[in-house]
Amino acid sequence: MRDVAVIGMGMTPFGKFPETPISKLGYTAIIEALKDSGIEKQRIEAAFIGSVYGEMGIGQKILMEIGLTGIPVTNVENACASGSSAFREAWLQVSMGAIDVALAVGIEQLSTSISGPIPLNLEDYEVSQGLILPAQYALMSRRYMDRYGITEEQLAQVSVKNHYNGTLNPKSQYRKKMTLEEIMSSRPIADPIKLLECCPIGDGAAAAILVSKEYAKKLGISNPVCVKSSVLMSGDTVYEPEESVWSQKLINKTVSKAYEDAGLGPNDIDFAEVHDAYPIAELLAYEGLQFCKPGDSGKLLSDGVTELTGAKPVNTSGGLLSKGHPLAATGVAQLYEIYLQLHGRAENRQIERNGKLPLVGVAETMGGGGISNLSGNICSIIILAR
Amino acid sequence: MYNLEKLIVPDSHDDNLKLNCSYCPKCERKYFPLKEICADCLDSLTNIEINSNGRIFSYTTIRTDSPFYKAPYTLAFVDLDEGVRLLARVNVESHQQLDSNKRVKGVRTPITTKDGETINAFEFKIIEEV
Ligand SMILES: [Zn+2]
Repeated sequence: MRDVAVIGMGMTPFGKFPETPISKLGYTAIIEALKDSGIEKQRIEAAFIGSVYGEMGIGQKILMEIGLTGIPVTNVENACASGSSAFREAWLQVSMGAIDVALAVGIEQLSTSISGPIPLNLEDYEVSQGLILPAQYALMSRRYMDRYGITEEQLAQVSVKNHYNGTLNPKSQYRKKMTLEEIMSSRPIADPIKLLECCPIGDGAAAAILVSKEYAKKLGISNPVCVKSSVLMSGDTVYEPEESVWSQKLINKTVSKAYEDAGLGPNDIDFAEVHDAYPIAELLAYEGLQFCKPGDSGKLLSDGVTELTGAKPVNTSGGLLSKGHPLAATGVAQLYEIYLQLHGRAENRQIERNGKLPLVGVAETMGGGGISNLSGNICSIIILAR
Repeated sequence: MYNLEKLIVPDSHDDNLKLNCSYCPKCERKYFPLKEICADCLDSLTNIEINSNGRIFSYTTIRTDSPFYKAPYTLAFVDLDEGVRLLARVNVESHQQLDSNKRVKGVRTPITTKDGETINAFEFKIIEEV
């Protein structure tokens, strides 16, 4: 396995852009990534495009607009981790030496197809009992609250923090500060989850150029951002009573493998972007990433550890709650935030400790929901470092 | 829509409602809802009847309409004494308070969908402590 560097990234703003052709969202992010990398598009040897609701052959439709034809193009669907999975395929091919230069994209345009929660399979047993996606997370929240004495206010505090971070990110969908009171008094969706604790539906794309570390060296790029590990794991089945809530064991296992592959531990991680589709998911991610012991995630948050100025900032981009969640775009957008932070290019939300830039960031993406007996559909952990 | 009625054992009484469950005799493993093959040994599963008494693992009241139903309604993960976890509706009466770990039992119930159709389903009720 060769070391792989990320030498360019790009991202469109997230939001609702029903008038923008989906191919334009895609090539806007790709052109930004190309310019950032300084290489010409002809150098790209293979492209991996993640999308959930995109049309057949969506990657080719985007790439033809910028004259990128006659190369292997692979379209990847893997629920909310589709972009992360596309990135992982690009990383694998470069790492294994099949190619030197790869493009990874995550793209989604939901404003033209969906209003309200993400649609689930109507033939599914749990969906037929009335399950909707927020209810899945509500069930996790309730058990977790009852087990560890976490309060509704503590859960809402995740949304307060991420909405604040989002005000500092010009590409975030909301960019609006939300008070605890506003969140607590927003419309109830599935108790204890309220409207302002649900990530918004939106559109957007993000792209990354990956090359072997030797190739980056030849390009004259010293000290690039490198992929330390990238682990993808599907969820476990649950037919019997167990104490874990949905996706909890999956995230714990995926993180452990990613730390092992990278030869790193929780103390080496400077910051994280996690899949906060709903607040409980961020709290479970703190534990999964081993930032705290089981049950201590609420305290970690109240102590300010995961705030922008804390010891382990989480979701400096605003997270899914503020930045938005155009499904497949999310995973690559999380990496985009880590990439900016590692380069000191995150402007008003830059993480700095004693005048030093962070060195290691981790992205956690959780896919799925609404498949009976499956606890988490897919989890991706990617660690980037300089 | 999944056929919820086929999960109810037809001649079982509401005092002791039984549900249909798939079972692998070789692995001694239960599967709910119904499944054709065992995920461990890949053999065909047989059908068994299980008791519907159990305990609430977690619950939520849904306040926004779902694809099938008008809100509000309450869903819970129920851990049956038979060692099966399932998601179903819970009918909480006004004088009752739902908690994790509360004892419940299954009963038949008609459920009306958003389209006005009535389906023969089951739900859980809190077992009142005497
Ligand atoms: Zn078996």
